[in-house]
Amino acid sequence: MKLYSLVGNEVFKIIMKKRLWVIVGILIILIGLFAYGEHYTRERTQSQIAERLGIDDVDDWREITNQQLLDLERRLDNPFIPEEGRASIQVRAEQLRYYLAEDINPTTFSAAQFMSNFMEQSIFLFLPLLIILLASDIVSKESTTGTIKLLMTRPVPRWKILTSKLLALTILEMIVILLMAVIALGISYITFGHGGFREPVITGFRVVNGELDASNIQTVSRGTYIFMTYSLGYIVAFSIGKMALMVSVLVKSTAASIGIMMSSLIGGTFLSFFISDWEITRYLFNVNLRLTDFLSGDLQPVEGLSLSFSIGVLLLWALAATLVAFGVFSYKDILD
Amino acid sequence: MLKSIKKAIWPITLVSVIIAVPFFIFGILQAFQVTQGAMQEEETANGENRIEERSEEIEEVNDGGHHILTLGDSLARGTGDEEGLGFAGRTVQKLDEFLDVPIIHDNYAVEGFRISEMLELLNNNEFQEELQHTDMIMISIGGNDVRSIRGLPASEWTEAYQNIEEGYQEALEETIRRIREANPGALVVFLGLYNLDYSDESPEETEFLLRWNAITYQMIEKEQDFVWIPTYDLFQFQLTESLSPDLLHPNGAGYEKIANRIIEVIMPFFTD
Repeated sequence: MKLYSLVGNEVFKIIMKKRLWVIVGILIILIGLFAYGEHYTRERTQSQIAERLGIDDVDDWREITNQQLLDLERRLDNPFIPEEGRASIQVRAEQLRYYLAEDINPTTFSAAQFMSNFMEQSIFLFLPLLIILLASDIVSKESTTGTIKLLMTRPVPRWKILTSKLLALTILEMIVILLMAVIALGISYITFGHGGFREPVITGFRVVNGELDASNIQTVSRGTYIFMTYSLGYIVAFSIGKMALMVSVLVKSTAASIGIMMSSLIGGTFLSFFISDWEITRYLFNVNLRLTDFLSGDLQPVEGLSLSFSIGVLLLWALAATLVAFGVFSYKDILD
Repeated sequence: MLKSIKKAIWPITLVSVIIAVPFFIFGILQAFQVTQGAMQEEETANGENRIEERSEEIEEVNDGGHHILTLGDSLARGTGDEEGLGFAGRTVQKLDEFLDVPIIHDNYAVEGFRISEMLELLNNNEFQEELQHTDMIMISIGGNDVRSIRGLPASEWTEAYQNIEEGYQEALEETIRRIREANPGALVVFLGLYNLDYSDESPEETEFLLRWNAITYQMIEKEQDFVWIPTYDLFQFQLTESLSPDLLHPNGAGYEKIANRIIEVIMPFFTD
C-alpha cells in the first residue's frame, strides 16, 4: 500500500475517533471562559481608574496618552540617556503614537492581543496537554482493541505503519494549532470587537551572558507577533507529540500512556523549580517549553537558555523519542 | 452524502496544512531574526553627535547669554504639566521675559532618577564639560529615594529610612563637590520635597519628609551660591488643585507656583 493512502487513513481514523472533536470542545469552552474573564477584568480596571482619577468618562485616555507621549519625546532630547533607555523610549513612543492615530484606548483589549496572550499562556501546559490527548492512544488503542494484530497481518512493513502514524500525527498537530488560532480569533473578535492586528508589539530582547539585553528591542506588528507565537507553539506541539507517540508504543493501555505523559510533563516542571541551579535541568524538555518568553522578554527560570538552544533541545527530544518508537515497534512481540 | 464528506476529510486536511506551512516557516524565521538580530550601531553615533552639536551651540551663546541646566527626577523633567514645561521650563520662560539676553536651557532630568543615578551622570566626563559652561543648575532629586521605603512593611520603615538617609547624605556631599569642581561660579537651585499624603493619616512619613528637608537645607545652604527652595508649604492647603491626575506630580498650576518662588529668589543673581 502507498504511504500517501496510509497516512490519509490514519488522519481519517483520528478525526473519526472524535478525539479531535473533544479537543475542539475543550478549546471553545476554555477560550470562551478566558475571553469573558479578560473582558470582565478590563472593564473593572477601567472603572477603577476612572474612579481614582475622579473622571466620569474614560474617554479622557487621549489626553493622558498625549501627555505620556510628550514626556517620552522630550526625554529623547536628552543626549545623556544610555542607549538601552533610548531604545525602549522609542518603542514605547511608537506604541503610543499608534494608539492615538488609530483612536484605540490603550487600556482596552483587542482580539489580536487575546490571540497572542492565549498562546503565550498555553504553550507550556495547556497546549502540551491537548497534544497528549490527541497522540497518546495512537498506537496503544490498536493494542487495546486488538486491531494491531489485523494491521500486522497485512503485507505492509511495520516501519511503514509507524511512519504513517507519525506523519498523520505531525499533520494533526498543525491542525490543532490552526484550530486554536481560528477559535481564539472568532471568540475574541466577538468579545472585544476590534482586531488590532497592526498594533506595534515590543520584542527583540536577547539573552546575553545570562542577562536580558534590551538594547536591540524593536516593534513588530501584532499580526507578525501572532505568527511567531503560533509557529513556536507548533514546535512545542511537534516535540510533545513525538514523545507521546513513543510512550504510546511502549505501553499497551491508553490510560497509562496519557498518565505517563502528563506526570512527566508536570513532574518535570516541578523538578526544574527545585533544582534550578543544577545545570542538567536545562536539558529537560519541560524547561524549554516556554519559547514565547524569548519574544516577550519574560525572564527564564533557568539561565543560559536561548531560543535556538530551547528549540534544539525540543527537537532532540523529538528525534530520540522517534528513534526509540521505531526501534521498539519494529521488533516487539505482539502477544495476547 | 455522508460518504463524500468522509472522503473529503483527508484532502481538506492535507490542503489546509500545505497552505499553513509557509506561514509557520515565516513565523519561526521571524522569531529567530527578532531574538538574535544584529545590533544597531548608528544610534550610538547619533547620540554622540547630538552632544557635540549641543556644546558648540552653548559656546556660541555663552558670550553674553546664559546657559541653564536642569538635573534630577520627573519633577525636574516636568511630568504632569499640561504644557510639558515643568518648574524648570517655566522658570526659564519667566527669566527670558525679564532678561534681554539669549538663554539656552538643557533638561537632563530622567523620570524615576535617584540621587545615585544622578551622581553617575555627573561623573560622566562629557557631562563635566557641559557643566563648565553653565550659569545656573536647577536640581530636584531625592523624592524617589525617600519614597522607596513605601514598598516595605511599616515596622521596617525607621531602619530603612536611616539607611537611605545616610546614603543620601554621602551622595549629596559628592554631588556638591562634583559641581563645584567643574564649575565654581554657577548658581545652584535645589528643590525641597513636598508631602504627597496631606490627605492620608501618615504622621511617620511626614516626619521622615521633614527630617529629609531639614538635612538637605542644612547641607545646601552651607555652600556658596547654593539655594534650597521649600515646596512643602506650597502644596499644604491646596493639594488637589496643584496635582496632576496621577496624584503624584504637580500639574501646570503646581509647577507655576514653584517657578514663581524660584524666580523671586534668583532674580537678584541675574540682575546684579
